Amino acid sequence: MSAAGALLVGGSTERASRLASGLSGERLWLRPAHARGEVEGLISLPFQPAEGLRLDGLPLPLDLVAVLSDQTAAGVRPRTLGARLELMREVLLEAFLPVREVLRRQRDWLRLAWIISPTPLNGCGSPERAAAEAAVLGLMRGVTREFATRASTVALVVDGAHDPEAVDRDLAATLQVLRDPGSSFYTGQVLNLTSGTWIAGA
Amino acid sequence: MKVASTRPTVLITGAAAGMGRAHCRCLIAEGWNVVAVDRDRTGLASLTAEVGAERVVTVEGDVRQPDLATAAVEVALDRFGRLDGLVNNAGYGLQRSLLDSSADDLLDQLAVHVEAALAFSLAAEPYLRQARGAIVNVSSEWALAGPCTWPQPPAVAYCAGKAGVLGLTRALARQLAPEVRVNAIAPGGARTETTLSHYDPETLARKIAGVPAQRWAEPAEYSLFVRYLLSPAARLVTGQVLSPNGGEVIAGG
Repeated sequence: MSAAGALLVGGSTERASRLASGLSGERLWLRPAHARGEVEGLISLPFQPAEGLRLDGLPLPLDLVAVLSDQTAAGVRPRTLGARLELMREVLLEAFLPVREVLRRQRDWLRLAWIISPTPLNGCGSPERAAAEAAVLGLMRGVTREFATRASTVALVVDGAHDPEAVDRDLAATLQVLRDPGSSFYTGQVLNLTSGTWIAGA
Repeated sequence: MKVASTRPTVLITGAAAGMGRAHCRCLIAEGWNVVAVDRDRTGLASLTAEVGAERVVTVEGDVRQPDLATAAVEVALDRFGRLDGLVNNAGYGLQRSLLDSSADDLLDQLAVHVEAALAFSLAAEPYLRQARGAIVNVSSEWALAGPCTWPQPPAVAYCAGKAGVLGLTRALARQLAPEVRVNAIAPGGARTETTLSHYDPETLARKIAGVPAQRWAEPAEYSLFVRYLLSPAARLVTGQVLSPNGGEVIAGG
């Protein structure tokens, strides 16, 4: 069991609750504006990317930051192009700001995980959503190179359309494995957890 | 709209210099008309002087301007009466540490590479559908592998922007099918004035030593792939990424 903390970013109250129940140690959640309610056993901090982020008082060290960038799949679906572009920017900022702040404050090794849907890889979805989640993949690759000696990265591809509870249970179990420093050589990779709903080469 | 030209017409952003200019030269040589978009007035004038005003029309502006895409498409229709291809090439590199990168840095990379490409694609869509045309988006090998060239400079925001182009490409390929094909190229190093000016000869030699092909490409070599993806020879190719990079990024299987 990990002694260090885990930081979840984004997602709904239900998802945060499900994921937190599968993770050990102190658990924090950067709760987006649209998520309502608290989760028992989870320290929640309100977070709106457009307003920036200060993580003063964050209990360190963390050994896991997991960003739920696939939220556009089940979340809000704006109708206008302008609103969809705004959501795209928010997804990317949500993937960027917390990671930057944690890396500024901590030198200890940690696992950085970004959870995405198959959309950026198979193009099924709106162009803005595909671009946002693909940009998250690019972010992951850039971070991998820059922080190779003190962070390991991964992008986890999930498809929660049919059985979100099972997906999150497996996701939490996978994150629990990947926050073990013994997994640190596994970095910069895309790990497919879609149970075969999305199969493609490389 | 005037009577359509007998020649196909392509709109190219970031056309005044570097790879964009090479694409203009290549496609004009191949028989295309070109609508060249760039914010560099001097560069556009020199392009016109080089290739002649008969086959190129220029549009000055920054791709982040909200109405530029619509205006440029209108210029294409007014001048040539048709639009068959779009090359979303405009962009710029940003080598900056994550820790020093601001939210604005990230959002500007998104604006230049993704939002501009989307705006031009949507503005061109009806005419590309009519012509059964094609879009080529210009990404980077760094979108696929991060900043892989020695000394692996930090460039998180740039990698995010260029990777966003790939997701955009795949989704647009589905959305605009079957009339319009949408693909991307993810080039490796190019011997453009801009990139060569970034490095001293020793650094450049060391970077190139890490490329299996032992060289960086001339911009025109990438134009061949743009030309191919716009051509009927690629009629079965859509939603794909071609990465000509001299072997610098080898992955997949």
